[in-house]
This record gives sequence, structure tokens and C-alpha cells, in this order.
Amino acid sequence: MLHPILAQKRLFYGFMAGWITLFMGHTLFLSYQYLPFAEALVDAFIYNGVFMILSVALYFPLAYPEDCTSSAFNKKSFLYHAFHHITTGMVTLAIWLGASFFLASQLLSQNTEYLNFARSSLPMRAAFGGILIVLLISMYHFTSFYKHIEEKNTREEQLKKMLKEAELKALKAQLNPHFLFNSLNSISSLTISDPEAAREMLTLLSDFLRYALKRKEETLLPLREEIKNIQRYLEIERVRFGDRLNCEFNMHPDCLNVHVPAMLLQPLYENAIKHGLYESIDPVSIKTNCRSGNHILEISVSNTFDPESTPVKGEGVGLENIRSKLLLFYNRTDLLSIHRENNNFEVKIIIPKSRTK
Amino acid sequence: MKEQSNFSALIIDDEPPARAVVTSFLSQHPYIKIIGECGNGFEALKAIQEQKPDLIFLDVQMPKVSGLELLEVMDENPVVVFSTAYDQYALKAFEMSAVDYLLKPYSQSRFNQAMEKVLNQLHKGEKTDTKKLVQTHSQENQSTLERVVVKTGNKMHVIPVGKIRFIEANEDYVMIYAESSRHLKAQTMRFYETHLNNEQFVRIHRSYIVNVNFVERMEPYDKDTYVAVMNEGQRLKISRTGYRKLKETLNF
Repeated sequence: MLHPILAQKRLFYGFMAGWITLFMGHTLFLSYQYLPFAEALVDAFIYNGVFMILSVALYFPLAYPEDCTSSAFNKKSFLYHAFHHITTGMVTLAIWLGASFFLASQLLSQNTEYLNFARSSLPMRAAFGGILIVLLISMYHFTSFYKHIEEKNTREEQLKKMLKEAELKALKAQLNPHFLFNSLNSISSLTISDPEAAREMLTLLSDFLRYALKRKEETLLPLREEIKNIQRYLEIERVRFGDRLNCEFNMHPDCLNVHVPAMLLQPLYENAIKHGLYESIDPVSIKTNCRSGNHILEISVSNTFDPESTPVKGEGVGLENIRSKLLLFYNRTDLLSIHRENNNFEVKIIIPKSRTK
Repeated sequence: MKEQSNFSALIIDDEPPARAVVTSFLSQHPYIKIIGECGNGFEALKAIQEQKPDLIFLDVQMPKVSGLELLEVMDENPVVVFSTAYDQYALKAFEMSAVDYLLKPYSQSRFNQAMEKVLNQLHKGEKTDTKKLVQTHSQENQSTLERVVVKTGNKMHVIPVGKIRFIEANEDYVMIYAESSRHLKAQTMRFYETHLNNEQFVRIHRSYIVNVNFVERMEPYDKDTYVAVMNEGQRLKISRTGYRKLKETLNF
């Protein structure tokens, strides 16, 4: 951990200026009223010098109980912190007085007048020192509090930016012109052969697009809603491709109420369609399994594909999108795993339940 | 429609509803007889070879072999009506080669308009200039080639570029040597030189582009030229510039 005073030049200069002022005040005050100038100078140098070193060191016992700046501030931790600070302050005070007194009396051991003064002035010094320590502690708290707020702000800013990018990407995927125009073409076809089905398909497409547009504000949604939207998407593709697409959902009802980041899974199905269905002549099946553990939800989406077909570009964008979302919400990079074997491609996602409401 | 003869048509699209639109719009054109529908390029090539339609409705985006790749290997020359939902390269190629195309979804009147042109062509015996179209498309599309579609006899094959060993110039054609077969294709060396991944493929000579993964070793040929010995024994001449390029790619 970096010491704030040593790390920041401006703070360091201010700190030094403060001590020089104190040192000069101390000297003038003593030489004016109690001691000859030379002794006052030595006394001020020792007492202020030791205090300065201690004040720099004081930062560490204050900073190390990490949660002292955390916002979760309950009564118990308040008492603990008060106790901790008072003890630290007292110990510092004792060390300061002890060390300074010892050094000064060693240096001026012949001077009985000074020794008498040093002894009699101890309570006064203790009072002064106490006030200074309280000031120092407040200063440290202030700087670390300020720093903490600043860090929090930049982190939040970053999160917001990432979220916005993820949203934009998801939206772009939704408005994938190929998907959109081909779906519209299917509707055009159905208006001739089956107007009823055409209306249904239009509703499906509208609901699907609306879901993507609406989801901007809300960030966590029950899996139930996500799955519902994915089923809309797959239903649209089934109208386009008929029997070539088979879908299977095995979901425990417990899973459906767990909250997950909105539009998290969508890219998986888009990939399955793009790399599986669009590139295969044989039927392709997409299976979704979901099971719920004590602290996690495990979602697996797998699709068959034609191993002979050449890879299409753009692989990875969707998965990257999911990874960044998982990092954003759960601050973990190990939640997504990919398994590829023969003609089966599977992606597993773990959702920690702790973050869910 | 007085003295119009009948023409045969084949509908090629991987989405059944899209084929249904064409079928339905064609009902206003009774002189066109639909002889079949195909869901992919492989079926389509077979049907075209066997039934020789006068007219095909061809979708661009299809699994494994696109509509344009199908054209590359097709010897028959029917009139083609293209359709696509969205493909920027194809659109550009259509425009540049003045070929009519339908943007999905399209209306009956737009379809009729295209049919008017088609009918004109059919009566005059004009063909769609697919060669030019394919060429402009491959020039427009700057992305690296992932696969090459070839034909042996009447079967179409898709060769992933990683399985190409080398390519040899052959007058107006190129001979593509794949792992276990070779295929003649109407394309230029220049095209493959610019469209194949240049970390893997090097033009070592006016007549050769090699996949460096299949080069076994190099041997001196005469004073200062070399030959590349391929893993199946072929010896390919390396020109001086070719040698320099090979050196750059392989870092020796």
C-alpha cells in the first residue's frame, strides 16, 4: 500500500510546511517564556521530529483494517473502530512522549533547569499531542475517504460504459439485417398461404424486438423471461427453416425464478443458429439444460453442427459479449466454458445465485 | 401471352417459405412451369444438370455453398433471377454486372417487373452473364477465402483452403491440387494470390501458389534457383522473387 503523503507531492509539501511551522512556533514559544534559545531549539527539534516520523507511521495501523472505509458500517464495527483508533492514538502519544523525553534528557542531561521544565511540561505536551493526533487521524480518514469515493466513481463509470457497449452489441445482433429481412420475407410468404400464421409470426417478431429494446433499464431478469424471449427467437427461425431446426428445453422449474443478466443467453442461440443451422444441410438440434444447485445455476446450451462445413467469420463476438457481461455482474472470468466434440458444440454458463434478489 | 412457349424454372432457396413466395408469385405467369425446388446448392446442381431449366430463382445465402459459388461451378447457363435478404458484396456485384435481383421481401409487382426482363431474355435466347458477376463478386469481397467450391464430373465438392496443397496455372484456368484430388477451375492465379491467407499460401512462381504446410523441403535447381519438393513428391519451380517471398513467410 502506498502512503498517501509520500505518494503525492502536494500533500507531502503541505505536510512538511505544517511541521516546520509547528517547529518554529514551538521554538519561539519556549524561548520567549521558559528556556534559553538554544535549548528551546533542541527541544522543538526533538519533539517535533519524533512526532513527524510517528505521524507518517500512524497511517498504517489506521489503513490496514481494510473495511474502515467500507460503506457497510454497523454499530459493532463502529465500536471496534473507535476502540481501535483510541488505542492507536494513545500508544502513539506514549511512544512520542517517551522517546522525545528520553532523547532530550540524554542530550541535555547536565542541564537540571531543562530537565525540571521537561518533567513539569509533560501534561501540557500530552494535551497538545492528543489534539494533533486527533487532527492527523481525521486527515488520514478524509484522504482515504476521498480516494475511495474517487475510485468508486471511476469503477462505476467503467461498468456503465461496458454495459452500454454490451447493450449496443446485443441490439445490433437483434437488428441483424439478414435475420430481420428473411423473417419479413417469411411473413410475406405466410400472408399468402396462411394469414393466421403470418399474424402470429408478426407478433413473435414484434415481441422479440420489443424485448431487446425495452431491456435497456432493467439489468437482472428472471430466467423465465429470458427463456421466453429465446423461444420466440427460435420459433421465428423454425418458421423460416421448418423441420431443419429442432429445439429441446430441459429446465427444472426452480431455475426459472433465478435472476440473470438480461439478454445474457441470446448470443448462444444466435451462434447455434449461425454456425449450426445456417451452415448445415442436415437437421440441427439445439438443446438447453438447466439445473439449480445450492449457490449456482448451471445452464448448458448445445447444438449439433456439420464438422465438414468451413467456419464462418464472426465466431467469438457473441461469446466475448457473454464473458464481459459475466465479468461485469459477477466479477469472475471462470463462469463460461466451451466443449467441442465431434459434431456437438456446447457452452456452459454458471450463474452465482448470491447476486440475485 | 398469346404465342408464348413454356419455360421451365427451378427454385433454389434453403428457406421453404421463401420458395413458397416464388411459387405463389409465379401463378401469375402460367407460361413458366416449375420443375422443382431445391433447398441447397448440391441438390440444385444435380437438378440443373439433369433437368436443364431455362430459368432459375437463386438465393445467395445457403448452407455450405452459396448461390454465387454454385454459379462458379455450373456449366449450364440458365437465366438467373437472384434473391437475397442482405449481402453487401452480392448487392454490389449485382449492380456492377447489371443483373436483376430481388431484395427480400419483395412484392408481386416487383417480381413481375423482374419477370418481364427475364421473359425478354428467354425469348431472345440471352443468358445471364454469370462469369462477369462471379468475377466482380470475388473482387469486391476482400475477405480471406475459407473454402473453394469445385466440381468433379457432376458432383460438387467444398474444399476448405487448409486442404489445398498447391495451385498451378493452367492457361485460362487453375488446377487446384487438394489432399487427394485435383480440380480445374475457371479463376485467375492473381485472385488466389490476393484472397488466400498469405501466411499459409505463397506464390513461388508465375505458375505456382503453394501451401507452405505441404512443402517438404527445397532443393537447388541450378546455379541460383530452387525447386520446392512437396510431400507427395511433386517438384515445383521457385522463381527468384518467389524464393524471397517464401523466405519472408517461413522466416529462414
